[in-house]
Amino acid sequence: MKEPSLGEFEELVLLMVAALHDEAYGVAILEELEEKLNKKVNISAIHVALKRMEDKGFVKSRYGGITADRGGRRKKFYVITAFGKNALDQQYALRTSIYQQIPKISFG
Amino acid sequence: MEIHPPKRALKFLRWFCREDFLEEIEGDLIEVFEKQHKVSPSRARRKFRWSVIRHFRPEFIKTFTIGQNSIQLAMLKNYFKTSYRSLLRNKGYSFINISGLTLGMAVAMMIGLWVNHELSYNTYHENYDRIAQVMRNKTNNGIIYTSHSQARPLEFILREEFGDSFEHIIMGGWLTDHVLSHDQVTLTQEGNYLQEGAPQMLGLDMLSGVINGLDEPNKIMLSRSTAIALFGAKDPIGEIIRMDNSYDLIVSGIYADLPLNTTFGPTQFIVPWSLLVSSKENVRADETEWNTLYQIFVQLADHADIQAVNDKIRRIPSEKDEDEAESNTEIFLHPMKDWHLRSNWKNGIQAGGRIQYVILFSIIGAFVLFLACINFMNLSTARSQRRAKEVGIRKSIGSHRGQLIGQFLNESFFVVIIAFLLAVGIIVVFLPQFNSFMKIRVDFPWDSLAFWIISIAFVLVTSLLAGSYPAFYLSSFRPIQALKGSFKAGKGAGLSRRILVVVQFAVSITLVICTLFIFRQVQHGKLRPTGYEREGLIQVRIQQDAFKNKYDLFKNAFLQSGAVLEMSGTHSPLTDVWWGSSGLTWEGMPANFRSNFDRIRVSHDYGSSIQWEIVRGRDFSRDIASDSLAVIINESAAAYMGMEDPIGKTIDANGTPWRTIIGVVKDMVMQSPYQTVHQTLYTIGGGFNFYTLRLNPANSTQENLARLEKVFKSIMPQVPFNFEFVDEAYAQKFRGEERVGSLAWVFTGLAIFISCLGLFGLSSFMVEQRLKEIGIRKVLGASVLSLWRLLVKDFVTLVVIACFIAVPLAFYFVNDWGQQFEYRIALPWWVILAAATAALSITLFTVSYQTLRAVNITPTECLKDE
Repeated sequence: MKEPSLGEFEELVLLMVAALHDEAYGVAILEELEEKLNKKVNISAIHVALKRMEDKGFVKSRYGGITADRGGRRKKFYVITAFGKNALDQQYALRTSIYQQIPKISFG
Repeated sequence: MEIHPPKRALKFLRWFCREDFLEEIEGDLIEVFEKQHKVSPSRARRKFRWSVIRHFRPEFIKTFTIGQNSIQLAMLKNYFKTSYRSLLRNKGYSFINISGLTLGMAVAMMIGLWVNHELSYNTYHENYDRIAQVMRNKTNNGIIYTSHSQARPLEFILREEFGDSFEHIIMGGWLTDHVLSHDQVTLTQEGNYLQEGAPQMLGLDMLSGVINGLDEPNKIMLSRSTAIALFGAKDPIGEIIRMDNSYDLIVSGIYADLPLNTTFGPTQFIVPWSLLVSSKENVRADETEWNTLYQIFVQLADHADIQAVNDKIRRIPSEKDEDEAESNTEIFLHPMKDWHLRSNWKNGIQAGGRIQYVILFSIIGAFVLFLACINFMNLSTARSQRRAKEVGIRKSIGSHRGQLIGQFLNESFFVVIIAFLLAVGIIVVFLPQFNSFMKIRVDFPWDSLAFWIISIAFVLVTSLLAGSYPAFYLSSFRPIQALKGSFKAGKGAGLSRRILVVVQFAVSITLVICTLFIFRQVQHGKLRPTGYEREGLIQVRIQQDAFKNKYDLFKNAFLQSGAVLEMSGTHSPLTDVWWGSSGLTWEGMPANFRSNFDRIRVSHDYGSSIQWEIVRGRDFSRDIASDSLAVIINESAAAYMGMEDPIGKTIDANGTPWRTIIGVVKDMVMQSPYQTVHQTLYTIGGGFNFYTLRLNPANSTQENLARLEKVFKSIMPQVPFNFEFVDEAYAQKFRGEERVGSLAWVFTGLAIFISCLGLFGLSSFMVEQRLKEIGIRKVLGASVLSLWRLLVKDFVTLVVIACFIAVPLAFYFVNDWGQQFEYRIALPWWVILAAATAALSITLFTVSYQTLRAVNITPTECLKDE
C-alpha cells in the first residue's frame, strides 16, 4: 500500500493538533492557525483536513462533554497518533536534509 | 437575548450532512458564529451561511440511497418486492389483468391520436381561421342541394362590390390528374388551377423561388416531392415543364409538401388560373355566362365577420341570374375549420360529417378505457381478499394503517405503470399499421407535454381507484379478524359487478350483431349484378387536351395489336358519373316538375365494349347518321319518365326536340353499389376522359398490357400509360364499408375480451366468497356437476339478460346504419342466434375455468381455517 501522504495544509493542522495536545478541536485549531498564519481560514478547510487525516490514521478523536455554549453540541477533540507523529518526523527530516544541501555560497 | 444562527442554512446542513460529522461541524459552526456575533451579527450570519455551503462537499454529504435512518425507503423496497412476488405468484391472473388494462390504454391512446389528427386538420395554414370556401344552396323540387361549384361572374361581383370584406378571392378549378414532363421524365400528378394570391392565402412554405409564382399564365409552382421526382438534385427554378403535352410552363416556385392533414394536401402542383382562361375557349366564354363549374376560395379581411359577410352576399346569384332566381339559389361561406369535419349538408343545413365519427370514436375510446379500468379494479379487488392474511400479519407486527394504504396504492401503481409502458410499446410497434389502415400519418407524441400530463394523470387516477379498495378497506380490518379470515365484502360490491357484466355483455352482443350485419351488407352489395361485364375490362385515363382528335388513331392501333377485342371512349369512368342535366322535358311530364338526369357521353362502341344489356330497342350504330341525335336510356330513366314504351319518343330541351330515344338498357351500377341506380341518359359525344378497353381473353393479361403500352408509347411517347382494371376500381367502392367492417371486428374482439375480463373478475370474486359453501356442499356429497351448475347458473342469467337488452339495441343501430343504403339486406335471424350462442359459450368457458378450479378443491383445504 502506498504510504499516506501529508499535504501542506494538513501538515499545519497536524502540527497544531500536536501542539494543542488534548485541547485540539475545530474552533481552537482554527483560531490558533489564524493567529499564527495571520490570515483568515474557513472552518470547513479544517474539518476536511481533520477528516482526511483521521482516515489516514494520523489523528484519532473523542467527544468531549456537553457544555452550555455551542448550542449544546459536544466538542470533538483530536490527538495525534504515533503514526501521525512518525509522519511529521519524516516530513521534518526530509525537509531538514534537503535544507542542509543548500550551498552557502549562493547567498554570499 | 438568545442568538440563533440562520435557520435555513442550519436546516440545509442537517439535511445533507452525514450523521457522524454533523454534531462536530454544527457545534464548531455555532461556536464560531457566537464569537463572531459579538463583533458583527450580520457578518456572523453571512459567514455561517458561507461556511455551511463550503461544507457541502463529498466528504460530508450522506449517502442518499438507503441511509442508516431511512426505514421508509427500506419499506418501499419491501413493497416493490411484495408486489413483484404477488405478480409472479399468480402469473396467469397477472397476465390477464395487466393485458386487459394495457389493451384498454393502447386503444384509448390510438383513438386519441386519431382524434387529435382529425381535429388538427388544416391548422397547418397560417390563415386557417380566415379562409373559407363559397358554397351554393340550390332548391330543386323543394329540396335544397348544397354544392361547391360557382360561376365565374360571381368572382367579379365579389371583387368589385364586396372587395373590402376579403383579403383574397381565389378562383379555382378542380383537383385532377395532369401529365408533367421534363426531359425524359414524365409523371402523372394531381394539381389544380388557382388564381394569383393562392400561395399567400394558403401560407405556402416556399423552399425556393417566389411566393407570387402565379402572376403569369406560363408559370407553375411545384411541391417539393414533385420537384425532386422531376428534376432530382437539379435546381428547378426557371426550368421548363411541359404539362399535358400541350403547355410549356416555367417553374417559378417550390413549396414544402403540404401535410396529409390538409385539404390541399394532395395538390402536388399549382398552375395559374390565367392559364386555364387563356387555353380554354369555354372557360373564357364562362366569364360572362352564369355557368357554375368552378370553385371560389376566399380569405376574409381581418375586420370582416363571417356572419355579416354571409348576410351581404347571400342573395347575389338570385339577383344576378334568372335561372338561379328560379331555383332560389343562395351562397354562403364555409369556413376552413369545418371543411374536413363538417362537410355534409342535408336540405341546405349543416348535417355533421366526420365530426360524428370523431365524437363516436372518442366515446368508444373513453368507454373502453373506463371498462378496462373498472375491470382492472374488480380483478385487483377480488384477488386482494387473498391478501387479508398478509394485512393481518403486517398489522400484528406493527404496521400503521397509513403504511398499509401506502403499500397497496404503491402496488397498484406498480402494475398500472407496467400496463402503461406496455401500451406505449404496443402503440410504437403498431403505429405504422394503424397509419396505413386509417390512411393518416401520426407520430408518437414523444414531445407533447399535454400527452404526458394526461398519461401521468391517468396512471395516477387509475392506480388510486384500483388500489383504493384493498388500500382503504382491507387495511381497516382488525388483525385478528383478518388472520381468522372471517370477513365479507359488502353486498353492494357484488351488485355493481353484476350490473357491469350485464352492460359489458350487452355492448358485446350488440357489436357482434352489428358487425355481422355490416359484413352481410357488404357481401350483399358485392353480389349485386352490375349490368355490364367488368371482368377483363380496363379503363385508361386520358387528358382531354393531349388526346384531342386521337380517338380513331388509338382505336385502330389498339385493335390491330390484337390485345383488345373492342374499345370505346367515355366522359365518365365506368365506376362513377361526372355529369348531369336538369330541366329536360318530355311529353307527359307533370307540370312544374324539374327533371334531373345523370349524363354520360360515349362513343358508338360503348355498349359493345362494356357488354351492356339492351332490354328494348337497339344499340348505337355508326351506320346510322341520325344516331348523333339519339339517346339510350336506362330502365330507371324509363320509369322516371313514366314511359311504357319509350322507343321513338323525344326528350326536349328548352322546348325544342333534343334527342330521340332509340333504346333502353338494363340499369348499370356505376355509382354506389348500395343506392338505387339513377335515371341516366347515354348520348354520342366527344370530350372523352377515359378509353374503355375489352381485353382479348385469348392472350394473358400481361401480354395484352405489354402490347397496349407499346402501342400507346408509339403514339404518345410523352404521356405515361395509366390504366386501371374496372373490377378493381369497382371493388374500391366497398373499401369504405370494409374499413368500417374491420374496425367493427377490432372493437367487437376488444369488447368481448373486456367483457370476459369483467366476467372473470366477477366469477373469481364470487368463487372466492363461496369457497367455504362449496367445501361444505362437497362434504355433504354434492357432485362436481351439480356444483358447477349452481355456480354457472348466476352468470348464464346475467348473459341472458344482456341478450334481451342487446337485441333491440342492435336492431335500432342496424336500422339506423342501414338507412343510408337503399339497396340493403334485412338483418338475418341467424345473426342474433349466433351472437347469443357465442356470448353464452364464451361465458360458460370463462366461468367454468374459475368454478371448476373451485369445485375440484379438497374440502379440507378451504375449511381448515375455522
